[in-house]
Amino acid sequence: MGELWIMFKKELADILRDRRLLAAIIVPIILIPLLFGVLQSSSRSSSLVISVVNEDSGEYSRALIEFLEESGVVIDNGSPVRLVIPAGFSDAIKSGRSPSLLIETELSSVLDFKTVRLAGALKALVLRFGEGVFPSIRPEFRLDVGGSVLSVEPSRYVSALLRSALAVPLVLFVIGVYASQAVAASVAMEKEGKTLETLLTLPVSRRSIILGKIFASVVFSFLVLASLTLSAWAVSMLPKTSGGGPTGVSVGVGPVVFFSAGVFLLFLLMLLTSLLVSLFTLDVRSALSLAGLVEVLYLIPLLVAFAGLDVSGAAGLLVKADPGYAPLWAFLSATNGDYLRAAAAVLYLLLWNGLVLRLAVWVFESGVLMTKSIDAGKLRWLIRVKI
Amino acid sequence: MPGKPAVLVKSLEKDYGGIKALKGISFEIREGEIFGLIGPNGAGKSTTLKILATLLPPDWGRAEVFGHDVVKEAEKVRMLISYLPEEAGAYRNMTGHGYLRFMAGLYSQATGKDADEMVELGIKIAGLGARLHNRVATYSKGMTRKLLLARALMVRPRLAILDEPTSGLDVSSAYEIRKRIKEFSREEGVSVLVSSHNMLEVEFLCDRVAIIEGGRIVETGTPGELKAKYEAENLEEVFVKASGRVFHG
Ligand SMILES: Nc1ncnc2c1ncn2[C@@H]1O[C@H](COP(=O)(O)OP(=O)(O)O)[C@@H](O)[C@H]1O
Ligand SMILES: [Mg+2]
Repeated sequence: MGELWIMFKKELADILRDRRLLAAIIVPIILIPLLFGVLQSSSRSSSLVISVVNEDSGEYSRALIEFLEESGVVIDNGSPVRLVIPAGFSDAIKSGRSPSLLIETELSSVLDFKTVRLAGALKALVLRFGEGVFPSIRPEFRLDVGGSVLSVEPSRYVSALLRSALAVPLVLFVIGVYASQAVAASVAMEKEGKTLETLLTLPVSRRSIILGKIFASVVFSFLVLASLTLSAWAVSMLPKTSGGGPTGVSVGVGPVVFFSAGVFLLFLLMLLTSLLVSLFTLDVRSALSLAGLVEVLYLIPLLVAFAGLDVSGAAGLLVKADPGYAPLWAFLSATNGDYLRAAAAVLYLLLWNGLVLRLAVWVFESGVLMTKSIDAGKLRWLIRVKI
Repeated sequence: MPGKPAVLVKSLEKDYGGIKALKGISFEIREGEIFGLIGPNGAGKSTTLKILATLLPPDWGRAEVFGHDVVKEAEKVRMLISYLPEEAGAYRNMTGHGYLRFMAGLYSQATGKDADEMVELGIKIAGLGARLHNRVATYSKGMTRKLLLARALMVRPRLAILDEPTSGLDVSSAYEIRKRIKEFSREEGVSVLVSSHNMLEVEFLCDRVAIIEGGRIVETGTPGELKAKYEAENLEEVFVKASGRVFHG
């Protein structure tokens, strides 16, 4: 382990001193909020389809429905989001009491963020309607997730879920993005500095060279994470959402274990793939570009799921074949109690890891490192696409 | 291991996607000898040295270092050699001293030799004085080359593979480096394979030379033998006459 420790220390010092890696830190910090903004604005533009059960016969319930329709809401009784207006809604408003309203949401899966967003949009509209009515409207919620019913606001449910069950895997994923950038840069830095040839003739095992780079990248990523946490904490200090607190939401241990295992394997796969593609590059810039491309490829299924998009046909198949989908697949299967499928998803990721590791070792041992090279010039198209 | 040559190269061929860099070369280096591979740019010198340094696998033929195959026993070979690439750098963020310590640490792990002793020898060979404690990024080309040479020799390899050790250096730096290589080989009994396109340098440095041209070895022998054979005053003349024979004879 001695040689690994020496390699690790050197790699970490190298990473921490390289100014170009700052780009790898700063770009996602800008990109992630931007992405969230885009997702949020796109959700507003899509049409809101809900079903309505009106048990009230007064004028205010009709006014509410009219208001919703004027705001672009489409009423369709097949929608998983249902607005229930109880009897006495109008009477309550007339007599100056707070009227009650029920928003029922049926999630097709624990990660059905699309429906969660619908419910959130409906709530916002209802509150806006309430602004024009004297006593404020306080909607209540009923959430149906795979048969179990909770009296929780869907968005609250999701944030609780993210905080409690999914926090660790998500954090791992953020780390993965940084670590794969660092790993890709570290091989390219050796090429740029013309130190790789010497390194490869030292009496040091290839394994120690690779692991030294991977471990150093992991540590680097934890440092990045610490700074991210700090900025996230600063953001959360701004007044934004009220309430919070524990809601008793939990998805059970099994699904979380499978999801965590899946995300961890995906994390390793991202590192290995970034290392692999960076072996073919000549300089740091092209290595980072290629690694960025790898990250996007693995992130697509997660983005699709979190944005609540429906992808079907050949594109849907491609998304599901993407190793980035496997952690979700494992999680959803496990929440449905189908542990065989969940295990298959984890196995699928393991196979990918083995494949890429073998490929990387093969590239290391063959002369490819000495002869093949992709430089920034050849990647100009990619950089242009990114801009 | 008496009788085992330091290097055995037999019918070596290497193709870079259509460009035939080596077209079947063979030579042998005896233990303790300084052997020069000389030839013009593009002759195939660096390719040969990279194969011996376990960086490139050959397409055809065999290469052994002290009896160990460079492909099948690459890890054993790496314990015995140290390689100075033609174009090499040191880690720019380290100091020269830090670089020597880092390298000595790795070799000490692998071979069990004393790291401090290696660093001490490295400091002597590099001869950079107080500048050794500055960052490598601040070094001139000549200083970096000296540091890299010190790194290659301080580990006391059985075989040092040096690709154009003096290329791009001014006259006095080149002279110093040649002198250090020669002294070191004599004192430590280290076998040395050195490549150069500077025939005169090789004449000063090497016990035996092979002339390589277009991926083929056209002559092998001591500088004296070759000069006598071609009735030449120096190796430069030998080269012109020998390669002329290949092309026109
Ligand atoms: N990575 C490479 N890709 C393609 N061709 C190469 C590569 N390296 C060397 N060559 C070609 O192989 C031949 C021998 O090169 P090299 O061994 O570097 O010669 P020397 O060191 O004697 O100058 C040259 O024609 C060179 O252009
Ligand atoms: Mg060369």
